[in-house]
Amino acid sequence: MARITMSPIMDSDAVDGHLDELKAAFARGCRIVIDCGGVAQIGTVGLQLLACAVRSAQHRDIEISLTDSELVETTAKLAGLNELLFARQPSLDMVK
Amino acid sequence: MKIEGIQDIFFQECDEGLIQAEAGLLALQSGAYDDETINTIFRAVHSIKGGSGALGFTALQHFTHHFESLLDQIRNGDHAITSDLVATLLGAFDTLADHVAAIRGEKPEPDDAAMLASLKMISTAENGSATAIAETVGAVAVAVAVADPAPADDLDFDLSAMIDALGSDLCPLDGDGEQADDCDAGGTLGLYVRPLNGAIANGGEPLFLLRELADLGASLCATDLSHIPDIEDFDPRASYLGWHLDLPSSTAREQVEEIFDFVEEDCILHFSTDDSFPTPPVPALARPVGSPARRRCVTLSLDHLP
Repeated sequence: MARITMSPIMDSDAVDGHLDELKAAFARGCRIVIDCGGVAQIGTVGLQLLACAVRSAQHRDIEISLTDSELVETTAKLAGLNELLFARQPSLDMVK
Repeated sequence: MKIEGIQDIFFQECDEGLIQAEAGLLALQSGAYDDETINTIFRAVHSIKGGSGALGFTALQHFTHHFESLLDQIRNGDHAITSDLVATLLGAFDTLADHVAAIRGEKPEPDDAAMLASLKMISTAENGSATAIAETVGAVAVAVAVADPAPADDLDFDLSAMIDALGSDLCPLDGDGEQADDCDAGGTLGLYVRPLNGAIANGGEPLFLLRELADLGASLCATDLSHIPDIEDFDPRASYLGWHLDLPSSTAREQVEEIFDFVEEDCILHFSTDDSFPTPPVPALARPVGSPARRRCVTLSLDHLP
């Protein structure tokens, strides 16, 4: 299992670093846990990385999960990414 | 254009708006005014409000929202233009100028609580009750005298706090059983928004735009994930998300376009008034929609916005 801890400030520099970590984890093909517990600030840039990671894992049939984070979940809800990231809401991806 | 350049343009627009608003208010004070005078003041404040929301200057946006609301009532003839009312408007203008100076880092952020209270009180007063306005003016004078402005945060706004404040008002789609109503597709204005790469590369935050749209009563219907690449192709400085929203049918397109004034080169906007999701012009959605989708929406409530 690869556990990747997200930075408190999820700006583009932080996302750059986490992207490399995620790519390495995907290369290993192991289960991935993204720890969002310490995130204090996140916007579109950070949410996009998380969404990309989850979708990429789905396409590769790799297990991936995000740890609970009220802040990330709240922000994801605003962006309509809740179901994708936390699997708690109906999909907002072209709601059917 | 980088975010600093966009801010500079906005600051210039603020300066021009303040000049126009002040000239109009002084005309009101002198009694030499007409309907266009009031319209000019309204438009100046409205323009500042639009830019402040798009750029994340929440305190300025909040204040101009209430200032603008009262001006809208005045231009609709809901309030008699009395000397007390003009005095309040001049006071509001001073606070507005202080807010503009604060976002430029020239002054601390003003304590606008008393002025906001007065604007709200007049807005809700029966036809601009002279008594209510006089009481309000007095209250503002006292409050301003004891005001202790908080330190300015310069341009370093708290994104998380803002998002948290808005997000807490979002209704779940279904899961918690609250306000998971289907959108009334008829009679709404559909909007597809997709920030382009420049919207993020230049330091912008598209979620602020959603917040502005919420201010117009927008409901989030769907998020377009079709542009998100594989992790190997992910660019942290690219923009991948898009959003489908419903706006009240009374919303004018110009109101929406004003929100994007400062980022229009970096955003795709597409309107639709029919029952299907607006089709974004470029590129096509990865997941085709076979028939007009029945929309479920997340209500972005204005009531609890900061």
